[in-house]
Amino acid sequence: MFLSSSPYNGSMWSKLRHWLTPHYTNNYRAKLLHNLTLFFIIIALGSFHFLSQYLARSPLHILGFQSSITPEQVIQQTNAQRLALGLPELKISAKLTQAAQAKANYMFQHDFWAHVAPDGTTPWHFITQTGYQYLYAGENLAKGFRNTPNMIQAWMNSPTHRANIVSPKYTDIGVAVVPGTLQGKETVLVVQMFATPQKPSTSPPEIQPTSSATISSQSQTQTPLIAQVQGANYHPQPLIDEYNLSRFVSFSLIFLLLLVLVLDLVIAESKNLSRRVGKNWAHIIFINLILIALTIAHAGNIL
Amino acid sequence: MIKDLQQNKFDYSFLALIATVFLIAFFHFAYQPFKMFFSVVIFSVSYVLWGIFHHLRLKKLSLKIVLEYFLLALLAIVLASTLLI
Repeated sequence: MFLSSSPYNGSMWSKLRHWLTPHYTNNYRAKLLHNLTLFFIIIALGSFHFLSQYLARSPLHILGFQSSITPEQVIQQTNAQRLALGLPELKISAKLTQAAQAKANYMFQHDFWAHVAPDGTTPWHFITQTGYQYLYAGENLAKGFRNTPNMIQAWMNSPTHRANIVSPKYTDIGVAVVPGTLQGKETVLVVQMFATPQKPSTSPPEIQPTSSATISSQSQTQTPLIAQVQGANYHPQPLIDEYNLSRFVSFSLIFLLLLVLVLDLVIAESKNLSRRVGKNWAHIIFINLILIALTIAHAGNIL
Repeated sequence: MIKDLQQNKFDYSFLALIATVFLIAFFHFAYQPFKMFFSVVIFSVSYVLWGIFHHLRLKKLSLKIVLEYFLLALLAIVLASTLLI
């Protein structure tokens, strides 16, 4: 006769009890909270992360970076912020748009994330290259955002970026939204340039070395140019957004851990179990804080 | 649980202080993923040290408990790295 060595009888309920609640089969500590199980969860999560990164870089494009940001939205929402403060709307400048696109492409080609390129090329270089003669200029940069409202909010929360968006000095705007691979990571780069054209008989241009740049020239074209362009290492939109999948997996795991910690705590207290283990409710607080922080945090970087 | 809280007011107040500092730092560094991740790392390390200190005071410290705190902290770091970096 065959006798199973398993301490539980194998029914679904027994398995759940063994994994999720303190019981004699698991030495009165939910199996999911055992050190070895936690170790395997960490290994599994790490492997998932590396696999998703690998798939994001593979030519299959099943997983990757998805973004709904468009230049039209960026300009419209920038102007909405200005209108809310009683400032005039910025006009779309074809030359500034061209400069923003050139800057974004240059960042992808030279693989840097900064206002000034490693070779010393400033944002103003891209503006003057288009023939735009500016009096004031500024530049806002963003990468890794999934949608326009979050990105605009991030800029508005930063005093220097906000200063560019709501500056009464600027009259023109140009925006480029460029997907590509920057510093080994698939992303969408947003370059927002602001400027005021230099009047025919004014003194030499005054450069605002802030984190933004815009320009409008005397010979500026009347035809608005808004374009979503492709970066040097352009990838098409993937089927599944890597970040959303990671969030789903991570948050599911956190909720499961919290559930088991609460169950383990309640059952152990109700049965007056004496165990030499970590403090469950301190763990619950710790994991909850991580959960709150990661829930509120938006992916994305501004400069 | 309430009894435990009353008996270890100092320890739990210290944990609350660490948690508050973490949340302030985390949101202060909004939109700077590496700094946000670094806040999670510092908080996780502080939590392990808190756990060791707390169980040492209770004279219930064992390698198994240290490992438990360490693994939970490591899990938080891995989760943060997945979502922030």
